[in-house]
Amino acid sequence: MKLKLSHNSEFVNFVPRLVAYGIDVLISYLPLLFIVWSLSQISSLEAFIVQAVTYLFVILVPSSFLLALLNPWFLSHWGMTVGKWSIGAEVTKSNGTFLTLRESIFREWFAKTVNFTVFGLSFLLIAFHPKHQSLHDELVGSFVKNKQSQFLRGLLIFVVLVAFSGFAGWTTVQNFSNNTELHNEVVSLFSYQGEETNIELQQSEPFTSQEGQFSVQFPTTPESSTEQVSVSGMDITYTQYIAGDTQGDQYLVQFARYPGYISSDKNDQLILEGSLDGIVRSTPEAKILDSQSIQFQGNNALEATVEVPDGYFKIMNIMSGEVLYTVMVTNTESTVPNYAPFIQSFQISE
Amino acid sequence: MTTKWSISEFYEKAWTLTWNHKELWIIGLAFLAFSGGGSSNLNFNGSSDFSSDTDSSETNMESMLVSEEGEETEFEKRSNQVVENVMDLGSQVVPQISPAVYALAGLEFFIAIFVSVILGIIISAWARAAIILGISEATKSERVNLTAVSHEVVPRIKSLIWISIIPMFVLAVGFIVMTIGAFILMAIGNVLGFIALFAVVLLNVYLLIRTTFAVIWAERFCVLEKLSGKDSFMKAWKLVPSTFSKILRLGIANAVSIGLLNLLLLAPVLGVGFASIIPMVQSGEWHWTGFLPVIATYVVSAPIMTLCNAVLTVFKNGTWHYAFTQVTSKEENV
Repeated sequence: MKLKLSHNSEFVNFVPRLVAYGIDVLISYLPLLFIVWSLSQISSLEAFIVQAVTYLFVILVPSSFLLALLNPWFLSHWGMTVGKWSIGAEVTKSNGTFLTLRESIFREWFAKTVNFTVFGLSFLLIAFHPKHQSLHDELVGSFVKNKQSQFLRGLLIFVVLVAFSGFAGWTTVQNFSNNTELHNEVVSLFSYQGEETNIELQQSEPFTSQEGQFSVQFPTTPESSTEQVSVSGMDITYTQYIAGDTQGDQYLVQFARYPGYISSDKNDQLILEGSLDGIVRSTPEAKILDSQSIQFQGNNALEATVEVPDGYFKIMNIMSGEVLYTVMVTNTESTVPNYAPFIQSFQISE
Repeated sequence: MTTKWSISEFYEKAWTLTWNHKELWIIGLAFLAFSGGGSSNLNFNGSSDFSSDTDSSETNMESMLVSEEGEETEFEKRSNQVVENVMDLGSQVVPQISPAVYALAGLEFFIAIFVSVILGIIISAWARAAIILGISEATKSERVNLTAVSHEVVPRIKSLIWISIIPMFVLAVGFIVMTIGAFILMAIGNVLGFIALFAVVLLNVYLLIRTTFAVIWAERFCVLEKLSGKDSFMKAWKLVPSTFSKILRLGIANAVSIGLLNLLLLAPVLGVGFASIIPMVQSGEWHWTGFLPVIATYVVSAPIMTLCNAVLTVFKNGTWHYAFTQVTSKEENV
């Protein structure tokens, strides 16, 4: 079988058809995109699941049924889908008439599937076929004809759809990454909190620092210490509370006030990263395994997992107004399972 | 025209036909996609299931999974807690979902299953008819018009569905009725009950084999001679006794040869798989990157394997076509 690129201006070639297909696919994903974007704003896991199930059966499944029926219907009535209209193409039989609804359903639902058995590679045959037919066209006897060459219009619509989907997708990802409450609930759902740690944390009284304006549940009564450090010519007082549990793991909360500090995303990021960097540098052989910028109780925060010679610690630096908080838990496991309940109990008061 | 039953001749002709009519490969792909290779050819089909149970190595995971007697392992503790958390969450979530949503979900589920089963049966029959007619057309012309084949077989779909469902359904009902009868005889303490049950089983094994063989010829009668489902099946049913050993021999030959070829196609994936997994088993250190070579080999070779399977599907159906032509021409001569 000799493959030779073909060009027949009466029929639509591979690239415009790819654009048309892309438009149809992107349109079919719009309901899903809306649903996921909408879900990304829900902060409670319970509400998230309830809403997801509702969206799935009330919007997604019916719209998928509808969209699956719409394309064959469009083809049988107008000879084109939205994508094909965008590029000015028309799907007809050899005698120039539109496909019947049955033929359109066969083309869209089944014949196209044949292409996917070879991972869609057979779509490339369009570029080599003298009449730019793919496998599904050959099976149905359909031809995609150039009615009015509108490739640029199609490309523009495609680009707009890609940009819109990309923006919506990016916003969704941002929403999810800032959704700390949901993140913590999911983490605690799948993380293992050792029994004794659990009991220790659950049974202990919440510890409140009036000066630090926070409360947290230590496993035992913490020991406190203060240290003065000069930062950019300014004396900053670091106050530290530390407690250990029966497993030998350490729980630490530290706060430092930066008088006159002007909060902004950029400034916060600098302080949060600088603080993490300082802690890691001061710990011999410490290595950051992962770190991510998140929102914690409406504040900018940086969460990281750090490997040290005798285990791991998980740390969160939080910038709330002019106060920098550091919450840290050690463990022998990289998941630091006792971190989730500890950070959940940490509350910054107004 | 073939005059004697020669499997090697069928193979030679089928291969020439398969190679010269590459357009049939498209129908082969359609057959794979919609019929899943599960046609009535006594499962003497080209697709093979090579899924195998792999022994899980305990090596490094041993400490996590194995515990002292009676103690809950770390793994059990973890999984139990996660299950407990999920169950708790589920019990809180379930009542919050509106009953209307459950009703809608049930309805959608029912429609989806119903539509997919119905469409699945129809499209599977279409694919079987298309490959039978496509191969027949290929023996007569230089190039098969796929569009024409695709359209021409549509009126045969109903009859093919009849052939694939009704005989097996009747057989199943007959088996149930006869088995119940035998059990009733056994229950009233009649020794004949045991003999009857034994006879029922034997009879049904015979009927099952004969029906399965008959369906192979019936589908070809239906598509090529445009007979109704019932007429095709009855004609094929009568033909089975005289062709029983022939069907069996060709079926076994196809199963073995195509099975071996499939194994050969899987060889690169299996080779890379073993080469990348054995060191992990030996060292006891499992890491996901160790599976990358086998995944990459599979991704690269999967389309090729699928295409080869489509070719083998055409080839296998070609052998059955020549066998059918030989059998029916003999019938006519008689």
